[in-house]
This record gives sequence, C-alpha cells and structure tokens, in this order.
Amino acid sequence: MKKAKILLDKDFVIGKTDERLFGSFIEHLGRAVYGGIYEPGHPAADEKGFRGDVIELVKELNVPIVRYPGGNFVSGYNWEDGIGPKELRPRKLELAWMTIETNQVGTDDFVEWCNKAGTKPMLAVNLGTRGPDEARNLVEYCNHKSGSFYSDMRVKNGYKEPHGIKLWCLGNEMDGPWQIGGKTAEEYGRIAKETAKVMKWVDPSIELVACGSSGSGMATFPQWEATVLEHTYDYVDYISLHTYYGNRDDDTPNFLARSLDMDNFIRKVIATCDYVKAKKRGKKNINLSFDEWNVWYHSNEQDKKLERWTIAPPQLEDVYNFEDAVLVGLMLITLLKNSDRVKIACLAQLVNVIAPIMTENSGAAWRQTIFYPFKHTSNYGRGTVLNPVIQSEKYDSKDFTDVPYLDAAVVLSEDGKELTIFAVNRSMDESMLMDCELRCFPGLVLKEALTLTNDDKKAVNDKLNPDRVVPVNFEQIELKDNKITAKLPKMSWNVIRLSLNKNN
Amino acid sequence: MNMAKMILSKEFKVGKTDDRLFGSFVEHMGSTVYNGIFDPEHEKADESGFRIDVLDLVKKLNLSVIRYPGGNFVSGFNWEDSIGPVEKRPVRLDLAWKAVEPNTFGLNEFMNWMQKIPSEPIMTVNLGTRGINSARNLLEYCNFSSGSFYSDLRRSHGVDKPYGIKMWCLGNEMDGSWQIGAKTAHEYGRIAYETGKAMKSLDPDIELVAAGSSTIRMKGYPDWDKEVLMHTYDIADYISLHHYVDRCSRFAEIGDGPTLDTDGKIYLNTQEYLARTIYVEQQIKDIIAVCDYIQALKRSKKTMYLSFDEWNVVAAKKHSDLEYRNWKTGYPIDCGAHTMEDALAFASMMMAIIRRADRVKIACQSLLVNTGPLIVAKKDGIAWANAIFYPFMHISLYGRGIVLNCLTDSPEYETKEFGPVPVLDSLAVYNEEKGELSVFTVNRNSETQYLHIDLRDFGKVNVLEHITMRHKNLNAVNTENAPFEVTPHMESAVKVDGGHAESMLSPYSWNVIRFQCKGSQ
Repeated sequence: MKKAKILLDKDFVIGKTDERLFGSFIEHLGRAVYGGIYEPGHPAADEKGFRGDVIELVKELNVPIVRYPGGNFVSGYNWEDGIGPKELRPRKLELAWMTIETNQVGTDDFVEWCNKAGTKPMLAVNLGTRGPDEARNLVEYCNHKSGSFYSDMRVKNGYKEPHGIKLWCLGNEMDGPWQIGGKTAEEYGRIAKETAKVMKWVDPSIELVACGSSGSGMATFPQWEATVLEHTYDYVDYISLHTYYGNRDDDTPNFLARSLDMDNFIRKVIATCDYVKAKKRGKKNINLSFDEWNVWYHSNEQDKKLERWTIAPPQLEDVYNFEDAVLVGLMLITLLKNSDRVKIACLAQLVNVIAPIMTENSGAAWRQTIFYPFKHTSNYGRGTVLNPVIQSEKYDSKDFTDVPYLDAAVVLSEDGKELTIFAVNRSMDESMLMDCELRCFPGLVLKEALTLTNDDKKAVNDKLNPDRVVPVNFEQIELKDNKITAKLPKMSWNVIRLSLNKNN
Repeated sequence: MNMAKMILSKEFKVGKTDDRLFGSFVEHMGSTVYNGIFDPEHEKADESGFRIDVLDLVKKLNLSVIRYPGGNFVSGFNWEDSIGPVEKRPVRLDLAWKAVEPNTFGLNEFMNWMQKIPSEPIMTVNLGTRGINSARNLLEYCNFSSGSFYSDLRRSHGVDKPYGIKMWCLGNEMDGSWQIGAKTAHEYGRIAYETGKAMKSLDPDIELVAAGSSTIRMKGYPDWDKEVLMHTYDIADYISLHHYVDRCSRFAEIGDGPTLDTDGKIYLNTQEYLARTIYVEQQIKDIIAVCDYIQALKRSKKTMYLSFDEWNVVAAKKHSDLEYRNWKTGYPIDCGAHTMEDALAFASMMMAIIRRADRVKIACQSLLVNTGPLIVAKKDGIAWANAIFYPFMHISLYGRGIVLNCLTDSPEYETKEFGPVPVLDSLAVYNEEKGELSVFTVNRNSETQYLHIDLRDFGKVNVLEHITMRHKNLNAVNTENAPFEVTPHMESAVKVDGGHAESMLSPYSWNVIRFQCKGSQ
C-alpha cells in the first residue's frame, strides 16, 4: 500500500477560483451542434430544436461559460451567415473540418441555448479570413443597444435586448499550419491588436483573449506568446493555452503523469507573460485562458475514414475510458492549483466532439467517464483554493521523473461552509493510505466521500451500459480530531466533502 | 489599536537559504582596498599590511562570500599585473575610476586576506578589454594543481596548493556605456558563452555567473538578460542582478550610466523612500520570468538561478575624509554615511532578496569598506560600523535556514509610487538544526506598531532576544567622533503566550525577534 500525507492550513491559500475555470466549448464540428445541442424533431427537443435531455446534462455539469463557434471553424466563419430567417441562411463549404455547414444554428440561436442551459457565451471572432471590420460589426450586433445598422439588425431578427457578451477570443490557434488563414506571430500580433482596439471602442466593458500557442509542442512556443503579447499587452486581458493528451502506446503510468506537463506549460506561459510585462513596464498582469483541454486520441484513426462534405458527420467522437477520467481529474487539479493566474478554462468540448456528453441522433444521451471529475470540481471546486503540503512517494515514467502517486487540490467553498478535497491515486496496482491534517478548521463533519475507480482501466460508458464507470460512495475513510485517514483505491479519482458547521 | 498579524508555520516554506546570500564585495575602487582593508602605513596594520581593526569588523559580519576585484575595475584589469614580486608589478591607470593602480594588493594578497576572515571568493574575469585567453589563464593559475605554465607560476609565487575558486563572474555590467569595452547583448552573449565553455573545460567544478542588466533603469532591461541567456543558458549557472535603491524623486530610465539623477535635489519623503525596495521584489520576479521564458524556449531541464551580486542603498550623506582626486591611489569614492533611515531601507532590501531564497542563491552587498560601505576606515584614523552594518550582521547571523512563507496582514500607508504599502516589512527564517526561529521586521511608520505572531506549529517557544535599532533622528549617522550613534540594543517588548507572541515595534525601527523552539522538534 502506498502512503501519502496532506497538510492543510486555512490561512495558506493559492487564491480564489474564477467561476469561468469550469467552462466548456461548442464548435461547429461533427455532431456538437447538429445532433448534439440542436436536433429538431428529437423527442426531447424544444420548439427551437434544442435537445432538453442534453440541456439537463449540461446543467448537471454546471458550466458557467461555453466558448463558441470555434475552434478552427471560426477562422472561415462569416457570422452574418448564421443570423436571420433560417430558410435564407446559406449552406457553405466548411474548410476546417471538410463538411457542409447549414448555418441553422448561429450566434442568436446559440445565445438562446446558453440562456436555456444556464450558461454564458464566450465568442470567438474570425481572424483567419477576416479582420477588425467584421469583428467590430459582430460586437455591435451583439452588444450595442440599438440605433445603428447592426444593432437594429439584431432587433429586427427578434432580439430586442443586446446579448451583452463579455468575453471574446481574438481568433483561434493562429500559429497552426492547419488554420484557415494561419499567421506568423508578427502578423497575428498586429491584427489582434488592431481588432482588439476597435472591439473595445464599440464596447469597453468586454474582455479579450489573445491566442497563445496551439500547444507547448509547437516549434514557435513560447516565442509566439512573447511576440503576440509585445503587440497586444495593453489591449488584451488573457492569453490562451490549448492542450490534449493521449495514451497511444498504452503506457498508463506515463499517461497519468501528463498533468505535470500541463502544469509546466502553465508556468512557462506565466513566465512569458511576466517577461513581457517587465519589458513593457506593464502595470497589469496578463492572466491565462486555458480554453481547450482534454484527452483526445481515440477517434484519430476513424476520422480519417470519414467522407468529406457531409452534414454533421461523427467527427472526433472519442469514447472515454476510465483512465481518461483519472487524467481529466488530474488536469482539473492542475487548473485549480494554478487558479491564481488561470482564470478561464474550457473543457474541449461539451457534446459528442471529444466530450463528456454523448448523444445518439434521435436517441439517447449519456455521461462519458470524464463527465464525473468535471462535474465534481465544477460543483464543489469553487471558492478559495488552499495550498496543500503534499508528501507522497514518487515514480518515474518514460517522459517524467518524480511523479507523485498522490495529487490533490483542496477548495474552501465561497460561503466558507464546505471544504472539498479532490485527490487522485496514480498507482495502478496499490491502494493508498492518505493522512490529511486539517489545521484551523474547527467542527469538521464528513459530508460525503466519493470515488471513481474501476478494475478495468479501459472500461467505458456507452449507450447500452451508460453506468459502467460511475462514482460510488466511499467507506474507507475516517475523520478524527481534524485528521482524515482514507484508503484511496488503486487508480482512483476521489472527492471528500467536509462540512464546517456541525449543525449542518 | 491597529494590530498587525503574522502567521508562521514550519511546514509552509519558501526554501533554504544558500550561505552565499550573505556576501559582500571588494573592488579596486576608491579607498576600498588601498587606505581601506590594506594600508601598510596604518598603526593597526599587520605584517601583510592588512588593517586589523577593519578585519575585526569584517569578521563580525559572518560573510560567506566576497566578490573581487570588480566591478567596473575588472573590465580594464590585467590580472598578471597583480602577481609575483611586488617591486616588479607595474603601476597602471585604472580607467574605470580614474585612479592610479599600484598593484601592491593583488590576487594572492586578496586570497591571503580572505583566509584571515575566513570567506570564499567570487572571482570576476575581464571581458571588457580581454577575453577567453586571459580568463582561462587566470583559472589555470588559481585552480590547476601543477605541471603547467600558470599553475607552476602560482607555485613559484609561494602558493603551492591551488585555491580551488568555485564561483566566477563572466565580466561585469557589460551593458553599461560606462563600462570599459562594453558590449551589445549579442556580443556579450557570444564572448561569455565561449569564455565560460573554455573555463569549464579546464575546471568543470566551477560555477559561472553571466552579467545581467546593470540596473532596472536600463533601456534594454530585461531584453539584455533575455539575449544573454539565449547564448549562455547551457554554460552559465546564474544571471546577475544589480540594484542601488535611492531616494531621488524621479525614477527615470537611463541609457547612459548609473549617474544619480539628482533632479533639483528633490528627495522622496521617508515613507516613499522605504517603499522603494518593492522595486527589488519586482526585479527578482522579472528576472525569474526571463530565465523561465528562456528555459521554455530552449526546452531545457535546467533551472537558472539568480546572483544579486551588487546591492545597496545610496546614502544621503557622505563621510568627509580625503577629497577624491583623479589619478591618485586610495581616494574615497561615495564613502556614504548611511543614516538610520538608510539602514531601514537597507534592511528591507536585504529581506526582499532573502525572501526569494528559492531562486536567489548568491547576493553581495556593495561594497564592504569605504564605498557605500558597511565599514568605514578612516585614513590614519579609526574604523567603525556604518548604520547599515547592523541589519546585515543580524540577518547574516540569524537569517540562515528555511525561509518561511511569512503571512503578514499589516496596516498599510499610501504612497505615490506604489499605492498602498504595508507598514511592516518582514522575513522569517527557521533554523531546524538550532531549533531557532528568527523574525526580522522593519516598521516603516512613524507610529508604534503592535505585531501579533501566530506560531502555529512551533510548540512551546521562548524568546531568546529582541534586538531593535532605532533613533529619534532618522538622519543620525555613525561618525569617527560618534561611531556608536546608531546601534542596536536589546528590547524586551515581546510577550509569549502558548503558540502566540506579541510585540511592540517602535516607530521607524529595525527589529530582530529570536525564538528558541527546540521543544517543537
């Protein structure tokens, strides 16, 4: 049995979470929109065609923001195609994913869906084929009250009140050679700055995200970030990070260590932001928007076989297994630990496309394995993130050294009444005796302990067995004199919830 | 009563102090060497010409390292001039300080003097007028055992065993236009890399410091550091930082030298001045960011550390002794008379450096004797401790160990430059071996400040002592006639109750509170 210790002290904290840390992402890609959130004629669809069963699952995840409409898609998108009477909307060739885009869902529709799903949009503007002009028109369309060309167009389309969209992405992955209208750092820095200026002139209350590297493996990382920020430092609020991990060679210990790479990526981007801050004699900090992250690899091969130029083909439909859920839990822990600088994060994506929610056209919707760690952290991980002192045995893997078997994040809820420990045991074959000392938290009561574990690391949830991998109550835990002793199962995601008020 | 609160836990740590954080600097400048540490004519001089009274004061500082021989001086220095029979050594013009360099005190004299303290040298090679060749020759002279030209030359000078000097600076302030043979970042990066490479081929055990920006006011800051690290990341172990906190009202960027911007002699008031050590905190953060940015760019596993190898506060007043004159030897330059107020800024500055013990591994106060000095040695007179001597000594004696995450909730005061600034500036260091906890605090306010310390997990503690330094006149200085005007004394204003301590901190005071906490082990 592995052994590990955590020391927690109420006064030693990392910072407060921004609720936008628990965001997600819907792109016009595969069946995310069509057959995912939108499917007129589905038994669960409402009068606008939005699937109620999917909305219920989204609500369960408690997602505060959803990035839209891309992704790579946005770099070829003309937002004007997606508004107004549906029968007049054009069918376009979509060059990012080689499909036909019917434009039956557009900006207004998505905002409506967000209202129904209890979330808010984070919109991206097209800086691939377009620039400042279309971006400022879109902000005018969305956020200006009325009395101008685009705001009146919105009113005419049936949306009297402005959408009031606060958070905007300046393009997407512009460093990627796969991007429609990809740019050099210099080119992107310039257009991002000029676009940012006019967007903020239309609505000074918006916040802007500049594109960082598409991944830390890009040859231009982190020079890309430095150059982009040198241009945009005074005009943007966040820089984006994207990362996806896979387990192609079935090396699970190495796979589960990948969250260390994510942590390192975050720290290097912070260093780059702060270097540019020093250079620019900047007063403000640039914070981080980790607006695409997940496991993505299962569907790579099958996607190559898909026919081009079809409508809503089943692209990027990763079926997640149990070990993927453990890594997603570790990635969430990593985001929480860096919540002093990471203010926004978007699980990519939300429905069908590398997503926690899977649907069948005209059929069921269910929770993939990765649904659960996200749901837990989103619901119980908001508040003050404590700075835990963790002592754990470590292991080496193919790409990593000193990987701790135990990783954990601890959050005190906003109302101060609940303390939640999120803990992963990375050991594939041994359970772990975890001792946790909780200093300066009088009157703790154990409220709930959940664990997600499975003897088969490749176990998945599917239509026939949607509950193969689900969290269960966890019994091997004891709270005594402000000390928790818990036996965490081998390879497990664990949630320990404590109430701070004895009367609760 | 507005109580400040501090929470300390031995589990929440920043890092362990490297002994080399407690260092100083001896340059061939002004009267630091000649008429300072070395003055054969002085009545207190020993047989080697070293002033014993100065040496006695140096010993009290517990200095782990001393950087030598420059500074700007090194960029025109031929080390060969300073070895061998004294009568054969050439008299040279030192272009950096416009002085006559007699070379009667050189490499071997310095090493001899160092052994009397004792302390470890940080040697600097000349990358101004010279390059790879003279650097590797010097290293061979110092560190190679025998059987080669320069090692045998050393032995012929009576030094049988190699010195084994571990730490080497690759030039000094090479970005400054005032520097002899200044370089662009690219030029310096290249020569520093090639010099470092050759030096490590000769002795792989040495550690190298690349020269970072001379001040945060340089126009090229911090791109100089970025460019230099691009070239030297794999060969250097540290990048240097220099900073002199001053109280001139205008904080202008300069491209043209560290000349003080006296700007109509409008000085900041005390509280604005004392807040200026925040620039030091920022500088450390900036340079860490630059290092880590380059680490990412280079896909390197190696962490670059920081060497804060020139730091001080600029004294408002000067001691008058000899008047500086061009082309003479041993005439004082900037023989600052640090005031009580300067000592507070100085203490804050040193704490700001030690607080980042996780990344700053070397620090050198600048300079040890007679220039911005810890110790003033008067020609034909006595030697005494400047006011800044005491906070340095306290932190050097009691500030080694684990730097704790010193959570402080302090009242604040408003400044023009930084907005709200905490009244208390603190450092806490736990020495596990000795079972001692030291809390260092500057009260930046004109009123008495009460401090409550929550010693959470230290168990039963006793107060070993509470040392304080304050003066009713913030402009008070130590002089030849009153060498003990500004000195620390014992206070008894700390009360301990279980795991809590409470203390009264006098207006504008420096405080050292030492706890014995052996029982907690």
